[in-house]
Amino acid sequence: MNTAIQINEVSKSFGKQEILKSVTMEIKKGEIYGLLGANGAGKTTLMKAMLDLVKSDSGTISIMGKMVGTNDEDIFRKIGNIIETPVFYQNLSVEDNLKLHCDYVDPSYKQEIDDILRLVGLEGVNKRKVKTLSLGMKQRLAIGRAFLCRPDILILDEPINGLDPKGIVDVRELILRLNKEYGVTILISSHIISELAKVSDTIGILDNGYFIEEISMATTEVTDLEEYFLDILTKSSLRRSA
Amino acid sequence: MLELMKIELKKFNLIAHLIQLAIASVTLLALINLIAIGEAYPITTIELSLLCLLTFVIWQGVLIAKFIVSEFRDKTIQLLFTYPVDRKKLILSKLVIVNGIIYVSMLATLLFLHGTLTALNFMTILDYSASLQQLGVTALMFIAFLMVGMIALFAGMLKKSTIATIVTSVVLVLVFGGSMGEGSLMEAVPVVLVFGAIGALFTFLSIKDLGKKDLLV
Repeated sequence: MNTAIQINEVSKSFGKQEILKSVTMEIKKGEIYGLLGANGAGKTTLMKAMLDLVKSDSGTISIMGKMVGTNDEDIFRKIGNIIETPVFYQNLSVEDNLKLHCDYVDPSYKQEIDDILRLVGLEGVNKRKVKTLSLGMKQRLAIGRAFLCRPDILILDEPINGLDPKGIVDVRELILRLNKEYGVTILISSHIISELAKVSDTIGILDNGYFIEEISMATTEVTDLEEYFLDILTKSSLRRSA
Repeated sequence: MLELMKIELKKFNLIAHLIQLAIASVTLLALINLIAIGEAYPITTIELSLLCLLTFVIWQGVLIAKFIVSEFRDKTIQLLFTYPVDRKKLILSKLVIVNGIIYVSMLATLLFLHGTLTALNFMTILDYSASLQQLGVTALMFIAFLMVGMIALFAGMLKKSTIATIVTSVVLVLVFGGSMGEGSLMEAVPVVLVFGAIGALFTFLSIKDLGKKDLLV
């Protein structure tokens, strides 16, 4: 089985507003999958549905062959995540936050904390309280925490949001390194086309809750991605209004 | 569940709590002395339990806000709910920790006050009268107080607001402790038990849908 995440016809509404409309997509093991979409396209809701934080109205999601939403908490052992913004216990130290994470997932990984901090370029900050870190450091720490207990899959929702250019490059290189060196499957969402294009093997496009297109970066002949994506979005918008 | 409780305790500063408890106990003792000295009537367990109610139901609200409601306000619950643990057990472990800490603190303060007041009575500094049986009944009443205090959890979870939690605790205390001495609602055991049952119901309502519905934070 080569599929890490399989989503079949997932729909979700909040009240009368349809956020996801029969979304079907597949993410293969070992790839970096970029989920592209404008603000409000449904990226975060889809990721939350994968983590069972929101319940889809219809359709199914399976991760590493296990169905989400069946009260099998063990499925979460295989997934590291950042949803929306990185959250921490701000008054605890970096090390205590990571230890707590291990307590919930697998305490045997506590011995890896120094290695993880080195990997994400945060060596020496173990005792600093999280609230004293910059946004870029928190973002890298959140990725480190998500990867600490060696999940098979990382789900990263807008991990470069709010970062300065140096921070964006750091996070990009970190994501590539985790994928290439550790073989972890990564789903990353963003509304920044150029950034997704730099890291993704495949890019899927969500527009207004519809999954409208998927592009393999290895085989595509498109040279100007930005123009290509804008063209797809315009056509999608015209189809809906027709 | 026990493992989850141990993890929760790691987020709690026990030493700071013990210092605050010592300060609260001494303050209550000073307050009782101010009330009692020169009064014609003896101090009884009613005064002790009312003061403990005033202090610890609000304290319980503070801990509910800190342990549970703030996890929703700060969105850390979103992270906790993606861990391989049962979501209901996660919240239940927090409730057990909060109520365990408050109950033990209440009992410790009650015993401290009883011991000190018995000594002051022996030295004829003030008039204090309480039997061990009355203390036992008071200790049982404390459980009902804690259940009443759980109404604050429901109020706090509605708005995901720590302030709403603590304000509700203060309102509960005003309702139950507003008329100290004779005629207080607290004196009416059936009333406290009914409110305790209502508190249990509100607790159930606060957590029954966790894991079944969308987590909206």
